[in-house]
Order: sequence, then C-alpha cells, then structure tokens
Amino acid sequence: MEPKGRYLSFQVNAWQATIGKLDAESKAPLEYPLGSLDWVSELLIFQVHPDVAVSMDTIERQLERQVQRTRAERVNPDAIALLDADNAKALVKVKHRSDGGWQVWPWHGHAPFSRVAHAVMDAASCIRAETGGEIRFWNRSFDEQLRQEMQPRLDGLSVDFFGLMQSGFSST
Amino acid sequence: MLLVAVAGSASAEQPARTGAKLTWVRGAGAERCVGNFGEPDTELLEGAPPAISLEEFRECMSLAPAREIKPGEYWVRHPEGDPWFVAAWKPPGHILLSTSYTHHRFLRNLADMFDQGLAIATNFGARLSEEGAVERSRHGISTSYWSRRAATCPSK
Repeated sequence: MEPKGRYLSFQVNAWQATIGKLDAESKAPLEYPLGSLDWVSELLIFQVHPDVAVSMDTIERQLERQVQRTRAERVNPDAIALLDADNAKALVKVKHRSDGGWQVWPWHGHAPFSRVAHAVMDAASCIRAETGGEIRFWNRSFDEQLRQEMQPRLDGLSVDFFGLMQSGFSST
Repeated sequence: MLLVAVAGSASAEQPARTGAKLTWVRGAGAERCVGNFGEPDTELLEGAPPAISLEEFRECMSLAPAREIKPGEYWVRHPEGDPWFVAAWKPPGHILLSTSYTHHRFLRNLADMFDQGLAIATNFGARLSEEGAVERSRHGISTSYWSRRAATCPSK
C-alpha cells in the first residue's frame, strides 16, 4: 500500500468526505458497520428550553468551567464549540436558537463516542443549570431519572447506543 | 484461493456509505460471492482451493479479541482497545472484513485491517484482493476508483 498512492488517496478522501458529512448533516457514526451502513441520523440531541435569558458569554464561560477537560470556542455569534482541553479535538456543538432555546449535540469524527457523549450531556446540564427550564431529549423531559439511566450507556460505543435507541430506550 | 477486499460503494440514489471492506474467498462458488460485491474476477478465482468453512472461521476467530454479534459475524477490537472491523463469514465460504468510514481512527483501522487480512488469508491459504468503489456525495466529492490487489497474499 503506497503511502501516497492512488488507493490511499481515495480512502483518505472518502474518509474526510464522510467526516464532513457527519458534521454538515448531523449524522452519528457507527464504529462497526451494520451491513452496508456506517452512519445514522444523530441520536444525541438535547434541547434546553430556558426559563431566563442568559448571555452567550456566560454560557461559554460556564461550559468551560463545568464540562470537564474542555475549552469553549465561539465559532460564530450564536454557536459555541467545546473542544477537548488536552488535544483540541472537537467534541460538542452548542447553538443558541433564534427562539431563545439552546441546542446541544455531538461533534463527531474526532474522538471516541464515550468522550463526546458525556461532554454533550454535561454541556446540556450545564446550560440548564444557568438558564433554568427544562432539557428535552427525543420529545421527553430529560429528568434526573433519565439522566441516571442514560449515563452508563454513554460509556460504550455509538453503535451500541444506536441499538438501545432502536430497542425503545428513548421511550422508557 | 482468493481474498477480495471491497472498498465502499454508494450510488446517487442511495447515498448511504459502505465502509471499506476486505473479503477473502476460497474455492467453489467464489465467483458468485464476488458477484455480491462487484464484478466477478475470474482471474483471481483460477486455482482457488476449497471454500472456508464456518467452523474454520470460528476456530480462527476464537483467538481474536472479538465478540460474536450474530452467528458467523464478529466485532473485532484493535490491539489498542477500540473498535476495528467486522469479520463475517458468508456462504458458501468466504469471509468479509469491513471497517467503518465514520470511525475517528479509520486510517489506522484500514491499514491494520489490510495487514490482518493478509495474515488471516495466509493462514487459510487464501488470496487477497480489493475491489473498488464509486463515491458520489453531495459535498462535491465525485471519485471513481477501481483497483484490484490480486496476489498480494502469498498462497501456501
């Protein structure tokens, strides 16, 4: 396999295009292909419906303080990226929506699912702590019970989490 | 003996991706097997030995750091501990290795999967080859690639 040969160039391009697709179209990776499929629609999206308005600056500051081993970066006026503090790999996307709500979801393709998933959940909880209100996850309230239930399941693989969601985890 | 590696394919109608795939095939019915993934390569099938049995495959996989997800299909972990590739036995007697493009360590997985594929193929007395892929995405990537890596595996 030639390092600069046509075959590896194709594979590198295909991989980069796929990672770009995860980013652009909010897809979730599957570490092991399921048949011909190695991505699915994003599974881990949290919506924070706030009681009070809180500034982007405050949220940015609190995210960096509260979500372990991360640093926050404002990527545009209404969006924050959380990066791994050790290696600057992207982990979490945070968007302040025009209706005042906050959306938190993974930035896949750079770190293991478990690292990304815990950071996403912690970021949503951090924002909720600042703004009050409610976190919604797949049309249900993300309460303490659901948090406790979900937490250990984020230690595994994305492909396992996808299986849990398919088997009705989201409606438990 | 034949080992076929099939890189991912996708069509405009079905943009879902297929991870890079590596298959090794021996013997009877192999042409039909290869036909499942692309154009039959009769040149590679010449002199192929008997098909790999499910029992042979299972014995091989019993030594691997792998979990059997369903009969004849394993999730193999990389020596570094994270997901590596799927190894699946396919009737009438070939084995498909498939790794995910969405894994953040895809390039490591691909290169190491090739090495592992060669090792296993050698063990089975199989051949290694790779079929190509056509990729069209909505992101301006439009690459067509087709190659075969026949006879990269020394046969016993």
